[in-house]
Amino acid sequence: MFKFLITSLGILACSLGISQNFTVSGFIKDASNGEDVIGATISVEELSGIGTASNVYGFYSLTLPKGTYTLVFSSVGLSNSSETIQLNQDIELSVELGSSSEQLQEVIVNAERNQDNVQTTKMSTVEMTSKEIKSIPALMGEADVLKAIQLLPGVQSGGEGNTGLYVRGGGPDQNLVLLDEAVVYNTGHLFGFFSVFNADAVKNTTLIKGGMPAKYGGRLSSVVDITMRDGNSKEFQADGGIGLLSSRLTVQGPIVKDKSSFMISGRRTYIDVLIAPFVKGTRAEGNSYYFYDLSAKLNYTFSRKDKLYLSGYFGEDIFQFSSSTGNFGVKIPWGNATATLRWNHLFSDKLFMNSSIIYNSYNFATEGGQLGFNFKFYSGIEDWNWKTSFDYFVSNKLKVDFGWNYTFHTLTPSTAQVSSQDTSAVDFSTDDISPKYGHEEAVYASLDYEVSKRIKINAGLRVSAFQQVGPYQFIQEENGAANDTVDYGVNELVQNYWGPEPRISARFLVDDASSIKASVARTKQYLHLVSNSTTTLPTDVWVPSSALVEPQNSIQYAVGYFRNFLNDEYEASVEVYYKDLENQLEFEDGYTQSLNEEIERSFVTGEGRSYGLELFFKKKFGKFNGFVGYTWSKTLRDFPDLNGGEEFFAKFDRRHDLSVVASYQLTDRLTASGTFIFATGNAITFPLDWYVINNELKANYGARNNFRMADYHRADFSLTYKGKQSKKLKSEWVFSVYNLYNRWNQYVIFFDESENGEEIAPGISQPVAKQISLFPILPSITWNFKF
Amino acid sequence: MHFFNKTVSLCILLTLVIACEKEIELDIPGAGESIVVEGAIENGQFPFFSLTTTLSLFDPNFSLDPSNYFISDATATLTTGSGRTVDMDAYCLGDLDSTLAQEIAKQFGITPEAANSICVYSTFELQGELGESYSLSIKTAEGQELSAETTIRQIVPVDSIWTVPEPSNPDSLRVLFAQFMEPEGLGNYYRYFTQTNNEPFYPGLFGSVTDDNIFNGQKVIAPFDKGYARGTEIEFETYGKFTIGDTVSFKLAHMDKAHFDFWRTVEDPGSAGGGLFSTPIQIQSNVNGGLGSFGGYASSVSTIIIE
Repeated sequence: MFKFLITSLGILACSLGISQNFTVSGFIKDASNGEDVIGATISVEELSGIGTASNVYGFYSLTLPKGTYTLVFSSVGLSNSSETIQLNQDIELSVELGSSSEQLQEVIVNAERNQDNVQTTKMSTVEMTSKEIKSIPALMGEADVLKAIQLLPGVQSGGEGNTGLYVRGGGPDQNLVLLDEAVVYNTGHLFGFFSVFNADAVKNTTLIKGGMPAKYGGRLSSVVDITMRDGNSKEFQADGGIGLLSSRLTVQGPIVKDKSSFMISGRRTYIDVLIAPFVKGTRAEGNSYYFYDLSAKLNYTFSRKDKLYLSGYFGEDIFQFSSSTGNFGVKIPWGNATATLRWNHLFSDKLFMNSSIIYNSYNFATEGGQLGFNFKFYSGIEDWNWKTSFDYFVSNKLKVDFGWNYTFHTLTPSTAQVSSQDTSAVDFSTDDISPKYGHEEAVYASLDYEVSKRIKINAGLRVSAFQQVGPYQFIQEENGAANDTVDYGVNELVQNYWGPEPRISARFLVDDASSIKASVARTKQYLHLVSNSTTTLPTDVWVPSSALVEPQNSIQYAVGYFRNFLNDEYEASVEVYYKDLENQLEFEDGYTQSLNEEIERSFVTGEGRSYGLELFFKKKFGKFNGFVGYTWSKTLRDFPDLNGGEEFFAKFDRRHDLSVVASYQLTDRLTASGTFIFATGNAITFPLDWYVINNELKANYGARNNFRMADYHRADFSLTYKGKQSKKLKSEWVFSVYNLYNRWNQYVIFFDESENGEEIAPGISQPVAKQISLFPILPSITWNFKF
Repeated sequence: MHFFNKTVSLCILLTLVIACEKEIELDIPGAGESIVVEGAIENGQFPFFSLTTTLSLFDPNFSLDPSNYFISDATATLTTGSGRTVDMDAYCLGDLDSTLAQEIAKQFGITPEAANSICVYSTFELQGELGESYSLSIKTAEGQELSAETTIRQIVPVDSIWTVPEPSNPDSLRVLFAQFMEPEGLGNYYRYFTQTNNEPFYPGLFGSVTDDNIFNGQKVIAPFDKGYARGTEIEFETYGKFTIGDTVSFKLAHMDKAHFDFWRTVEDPGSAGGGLFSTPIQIQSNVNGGLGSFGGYASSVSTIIIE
């Protein structure tokens, strides 16, 4: 199958090639630190509309007829560079782009002519640099990659302060979050209030919410592709920050100049240290909570043709509790770990390969003891992944991507163990629940082809498969009682699923500055996360497709109009989408957690659909810049076993969602930034009536998600003041205010008996509705430094 | 997992000391009156149930009439699997001889103070029998019909109970332990109650029910918190513990799945309007035409005096 794919691609490539063509190729780097520049545009001044872009490793390749050309290299945030070449043989041309901060004026004049958004076949895709993310005012001054993404149209947050992403009507488990290609399963610290990504260690973030390219798979709704910094290969550099919540430090530098560099970055919170003196001697003494994360990356360039990268991430949240009498204690650690080893190889100046071996894991545990009993809860997921991708720059009209991906998954659902020091007592454990094992494979190929000056298409096919394998014991249940079991041995096939995932997108160029694009993408998802809670929690458990659960499927259609104005200083787009979701999962009615039972047995399946309109308007540069994003959308779910079989609004259905982000450079040293967010309230299920059971008031709930919370809105503001910029030390103060006008946004609404209300039955008083709001107006200050 | 939910809530409250709570006004139209059954039949005891109406407390047009709250003019019959049918009649405890009223209240797990304002349906012609099935049918004066079916399973005997000193206060407080042999085969469901001195049996406060998934077919030895009447004030320092000198009874009631599902969902915080981390849980009912439950208990009791 795979051989056939390569052969046919080769034939296609040959038939499109013309003999008198030569190739110019090379790497594009940032002159200030030697890092690869992702997505830099290379255009040919003499040939309008001809050009290419650098890949994730800064590599580009452009094949042109013999002749003399001026190549213009540009990238957001960096100054342009142009080179004149005599193309009468294949040429290697690597370029370093200077920082734009010294040449700000020039950049504005050049305006980069960056027309990526209009020219490429990519749609529903947004890139954000670490710099842009850091310019957005943040909660407690913690710059946050995922919260920055939530401001984009088509993306919704789960609620106040939550880093969960809901993209175009998809659930929080339907986003493929990649950190240097490694999947990150739980993206939140502190119950999702902060994302696990340290913005200092991040180079680039790409969000794809539709028309997913064939190289991505495994999730239905979106891709968040995060690239870590490579490490400064020119000079030694340290930067960091001291904030109210945490402190950060990043150190990077060359190991062998221009050949090898490293980057190591860490942060840790100190809530535990700050709270400790106040809780001393109280019942809360002995409780502590903190989180930290560490990112590190090494790279080594063997030659122009071979480069190796090794990167890793480790983050953990730790909560500890011990009772004041010392007879009860518990420790709850959870976190992600990833490691990626990558090898870049140039087979020729047209064929680039990257092959990666990736490890990632997410673990949650609770360990404790009381009265001679020790207990332990544990859940986790672990993957080993081998991924290889090829970028084949066939001609200036055709680029082909192909590759494969194999992952071995080990998923440990919630397991519990209780052991006793009393030897006569029997120890309990959830031994009926064992880990599940799965192989996930995919092969893909896609081509980006310029049919004519106006029309360009990107067509791809991904074929994916998943096998649940043993050891596994399948228990056939009837009315909660086992009536048959089947045992599967190690690596014995339990269940196999596979399917094609065709993707196509097309661009029609209306004129130089505007285009119409359309895309259709089919996606499949073999791992699932079902949660009943109002937010994403560390206890959320991923389950694989198995004998009990079928894969999720979706198909999304999107059409958009893209336009640049005033020399590309302004960028605007309108997109509409429709998405169909199959095999969606929810817990059955009345579900409460039961130990030692596979949670899959409590799932019910149904369908979903979502449609909407997204508007985006951005001023890309200048003293005043920023964007406005607006989404109108509707998200529905239809489950035969829920809500009496009637269709209902998804919890995160949101009619209106508006974000305004603006930044203004007041003086050379002072910049002001602000954001404003407005969103329709989340759908919520309220009781219509009440009744008394066992002398307690109970709720008789109405239809699922039958009411709305109040609309959510909030403004944030920040001021960045740069200290004296000496050669040795550059520093800045960031003053920020979260929730500027102190809006009490509803986080949770619940019902409680009022303390002095009217009695409605013996000992029972009238309930009242209460709201919890999380963050009032919250000022914070952060000092950042760089030397 | 209750423990874990509590820990999570505690943790979040600890770290988010800045969170704000306030009352809000909601205007929710009621769904219209439904009828609620709450009752049980236990081996060796008379069957009983109460009949009440739902309350549209957030409907601005709703006005509460306590005399309507208990429905005492319905007719009810209980039929056994072996074909015997008896009528169940309404008794409002306030109208009864106070000793009898207190005895009945005790059976229901109702505090003596609350007993006077409660009406129940019962019969003194029939007591619950192990292994027997029962079907209840009710017809209100307005002609509305409700029915429920349940069984009394076989008892799972409590082998022994004992207490150990509570480490924080070993001089006076005791933790109750019980031991029983859980029968082989999945699908057994339990609810436990404790009785202290002359009080009624009260179910455990945080999760009185469990399935047998975790200890199927094993000898179970575990600590059990003292049970409480719902709606009473609880002291943190003595919660769940017994005192030296108490006469303590432990009741292990074996149930069918429908009866278990009812109490399992009743005891989830989500059934009472939710909270920080709980989602709405609709209480699982085994009553056709109404809400609530009529379920069977196969109970085994063991008693000790703490010295």
